[in-house]
Amino acid sequence: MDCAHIQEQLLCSDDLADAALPADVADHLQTCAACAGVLSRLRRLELEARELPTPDAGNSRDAFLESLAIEQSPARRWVIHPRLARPRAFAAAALILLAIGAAAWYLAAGGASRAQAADVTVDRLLEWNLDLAEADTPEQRARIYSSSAPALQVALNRNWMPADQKQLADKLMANGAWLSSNTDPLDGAERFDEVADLMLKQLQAATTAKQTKAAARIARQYQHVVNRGLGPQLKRAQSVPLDKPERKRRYERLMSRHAELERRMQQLLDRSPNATPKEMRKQLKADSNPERGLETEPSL
Amino acid sequence: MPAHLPSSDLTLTEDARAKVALWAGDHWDGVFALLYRLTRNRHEAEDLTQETFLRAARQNDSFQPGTNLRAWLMRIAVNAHLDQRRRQHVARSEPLPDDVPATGAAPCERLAGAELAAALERAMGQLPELARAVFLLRTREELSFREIGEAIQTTEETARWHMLQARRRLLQELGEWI
Repeated sequence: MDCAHIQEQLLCSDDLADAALPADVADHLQTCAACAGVLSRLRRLELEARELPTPDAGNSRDAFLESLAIEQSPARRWVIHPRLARPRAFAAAALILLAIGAAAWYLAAGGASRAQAADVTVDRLLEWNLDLAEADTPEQRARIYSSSAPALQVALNRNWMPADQKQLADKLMANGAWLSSNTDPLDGAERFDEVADLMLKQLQAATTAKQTKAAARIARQYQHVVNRGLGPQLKRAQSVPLDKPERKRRYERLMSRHAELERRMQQLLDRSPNATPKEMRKQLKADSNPERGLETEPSL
Repeated sequence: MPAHLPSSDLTLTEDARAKVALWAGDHWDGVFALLYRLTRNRHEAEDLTQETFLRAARQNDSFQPGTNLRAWLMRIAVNAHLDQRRRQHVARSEPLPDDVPATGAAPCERLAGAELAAALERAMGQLPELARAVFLLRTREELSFREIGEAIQTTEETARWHMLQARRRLLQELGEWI
């Protein structure tokens, strides 16, 4: 038997252990250093492949279990994005679900509200927008966009939402498409500014109606938009020379609107001190943090 | 493309929900690990893992108790991945981190484990889709070639052939790294 044949046998063998090798192959290996070397390399290859590290699956399992729980009807079937998994909430939900068994679980699922599904859709859309904005290269943006856009669009079409939430969701969907192929930070900041404005209006409505849970959720979303979207985009815009009067005007307008958003947030807090104080105070603290590096005067 | 949404509008039964919850408890990480290796993209792998378990829930009647559940789930996972690739028509050209040495570069005498792992990742990424799936299913999941053949909807012999191609190309690509 020649070396080529032996090596072919090794390459497609089930098991590379000595004991598993056919007798003729084992005999050949005793006297052929080249083939023994191939076997040794194959063993090393498999060892290394088995030991390749894999990132932690994170909260995706909990998010999946949660998505089963909120699935109510065929018309609203969809999948929660794992990156939106809130560890404690979803882990707790998963434990409860497993403990009470399938029947109770199904009953619980039936009680889930349409509002919950709508909230998660908006959360997903927002997270997607922020991921896109944070991506460094056009290739990364294109990949993030294409990996989620179709499912998000389906979720958006399937989930009923109140008009104000639908307006926000539609805007996030459109902004996602825009962000996938545009990187100008000034344009990006303007888009996140519009999103922040819509959220603040929703927050005002929720606090007026004393919907504390909704207010907390919106405050958290608003915080993400400012800290991961609007703020970084403004900072990037600031680092690019604003050599055209039109761009300088836009930047100044954005800074002024940013200050206005902070003022409105402060007003909300003053007016409704018991509504979502933690999230809102946190946001105000972040807004007023001088280390965030936003200056009122753009570079020229 | 992400976890694409189910084309079927059938509602999951209580039984299906209960089964898939148990399966997810035991096999989520393994399915995710395989899909991460196949996609080389964490987010895509997360979405496909969800898709895999949704498909499993929907097809739960086709699983025969007493047979290899893990192999069955891996088969669904591979199919979900291949379906997605067919839809995307994406050339697999995702860049690896900048510090990964080119496979043609002369290796240092003492290779850091991370460097070798990165070189292997790169080489695996250059394998044809089916060869990579077969190599992973055999090496990491230790499925038999018969089970692998079922997973990629081909024969046991064809699965072996893909394994031969995968091993041969990996040895070539890795050169003196191993």
